[in-house]
Amino acid sequence: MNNSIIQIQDLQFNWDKSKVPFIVIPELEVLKSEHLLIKGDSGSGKTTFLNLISGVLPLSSGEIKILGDNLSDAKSSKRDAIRANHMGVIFQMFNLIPYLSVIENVLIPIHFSEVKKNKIIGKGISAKDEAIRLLSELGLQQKEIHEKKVTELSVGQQQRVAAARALIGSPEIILADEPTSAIDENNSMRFLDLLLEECRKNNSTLLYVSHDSRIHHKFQQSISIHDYTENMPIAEKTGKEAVECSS
Amino acid sequence: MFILKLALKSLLNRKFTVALTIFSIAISITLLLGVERIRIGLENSFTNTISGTDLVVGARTGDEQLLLSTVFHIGMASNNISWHSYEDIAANELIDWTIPISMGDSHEGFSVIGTNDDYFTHYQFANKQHLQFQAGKAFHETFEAVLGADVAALHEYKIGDEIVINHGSGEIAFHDHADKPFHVSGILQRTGTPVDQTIHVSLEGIEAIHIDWVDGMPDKHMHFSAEEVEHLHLEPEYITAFLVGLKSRTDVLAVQRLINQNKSEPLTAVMPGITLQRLWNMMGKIETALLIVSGFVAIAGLIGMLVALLTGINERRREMAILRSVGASPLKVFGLISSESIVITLSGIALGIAFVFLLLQIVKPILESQYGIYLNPSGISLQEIYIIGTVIILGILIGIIPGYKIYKYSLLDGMTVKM
Repeated sequence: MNNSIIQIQDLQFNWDKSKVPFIVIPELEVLKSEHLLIKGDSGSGKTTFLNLISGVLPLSSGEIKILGDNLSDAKSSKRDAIRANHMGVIFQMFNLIPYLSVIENVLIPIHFSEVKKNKIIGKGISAKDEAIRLLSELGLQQKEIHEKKVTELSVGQQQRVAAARALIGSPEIILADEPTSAIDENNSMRFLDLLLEECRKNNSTLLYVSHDSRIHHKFQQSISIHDYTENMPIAEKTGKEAVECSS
Repeated sequence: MFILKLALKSLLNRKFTVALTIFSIAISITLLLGVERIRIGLENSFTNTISGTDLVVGARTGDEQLLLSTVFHIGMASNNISWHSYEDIAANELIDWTIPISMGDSHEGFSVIGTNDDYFTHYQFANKQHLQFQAGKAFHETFEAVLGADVAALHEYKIGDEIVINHGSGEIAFHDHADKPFHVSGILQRTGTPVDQTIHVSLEGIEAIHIDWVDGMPDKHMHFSAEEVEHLHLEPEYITAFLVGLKSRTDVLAVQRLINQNKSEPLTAVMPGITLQRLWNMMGKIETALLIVSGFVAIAGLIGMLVALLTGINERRREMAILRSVGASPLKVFGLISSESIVITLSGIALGIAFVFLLLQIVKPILESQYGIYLNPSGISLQEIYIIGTVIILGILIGIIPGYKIYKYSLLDGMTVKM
């Protein structure tokens, strides 16, 4: 149980108190350093699921525990704090604030979380150096890129900056919502490999949403989210057993 | 702190729109404060049309009428004061100085008043300023005249020019005193008061041009030439009014009562400052209208800000989703947008205040010399603090609207923007 990062029990979510649940997950456990692939057709609620995990949306019923803290009991400010301190998020696109430079974008989470800031200080380096280190590891080592306006970057470069922002301060959980959907195939594979590599180094748990079944083999665990009908459980475990972690 | 930094960077990113918005708020503030300054300047100038004079005395009449006829030359005094009564009162030991005034004649629509040297010594206007000559000097001969600045400017009179005085007031006078012309001995500097539209001659001069008149008409049988008249004894029998300066202002009520209860003939003494203030208050609706108009301009400026902030809001929903994803609470997102509008409002107000002071420095000399409006150039009055405070509060309240919209969106959108 000590290794458990995310625990879900009888999760139900429905929009606007409608009777029909939009998402139902009877049980799910994600362990430390585990990489979980979340599959599903578009509109099936994968993104809503990430919003629930991150605490942006409140549950309708059931519980989600993040690092032992129960999101369902927590006030929204508490959920915001858990997200700020223990998570990093990458979106499909539009990840960056247009009027900040590359470095400034990577550093945003530091301003919202003392925990992340202190983790970097604990390493004995400055936040800026850590940002530069992450950018370099993600293939953006050129100094002139760091001070550039983000609007001058290609989409692929922007997604790497987003990854660096998610990874800074070594959060326990990385949420990625189809981060490669706007990048071409070659680059998208490289991006995924880099992200997996960095998560491994950080011992971060990765929740990766994708409709691409070809990347299935890169994850230890995967779940599918379908349209809910009364007889079908909404999330079913596929693939390898959850216990199988990376070493 | 980071939120404020973000707000500033985001504003800088939209320099042009933001600058325009700030500018439009600045213009509103400039108008509001400018109108207020000019209104107070006007009021001060009006109520100080005559200053340093403690009492204006005339034959028994209404306060306002006496003041209007004596100071503004509007309307006519209904009766005269005998020279004896004047001399009696002027001799009172509480009285420091008096200026006798005799009215009833005109030149090209400008009033002609008969007075003496004391006028140039004691008459004061605005902030106790004395009359100054821009050319020449006071009258010394019977047929010499001192012109107000407007009279001289309009007809381009110079020292030594000859002018003919008409009997009665107004543009069209039925009889003139062409047989006894006056020469210009001096021209006064502009005061911005009715003095500028006045021709001053000696009491003897007034007496001289009427000496061969009977019942307001030239006498058919008697005629004196200008040369002959100068040798006659020209002490006036009557004057129209006189101004009184006291040794001590504290005696003003006592002297006023004394004059109002004068036994030899019924007289009225008024305190010019109080009466001028009363006249000004009668015109108070005009200033209210001015203030309302500039208030609407300020509201237009703030609505401009609201429009500028609201039009950008959809593009910024993505930005808010990013901030939410790194743990920003909806309240912080609200704070970001609201602080942007606060920054815009405050910069607009600061710029507006700067504009006002700059503008005042430029127009001050013009208003003073041309219109006699004296503005208070420095310091911020309580009234102005109220105005500025109201605009700040309105600006913040209006800034809350886009902030609230974003707050709602960020609750709804979460980390994903559905657009």
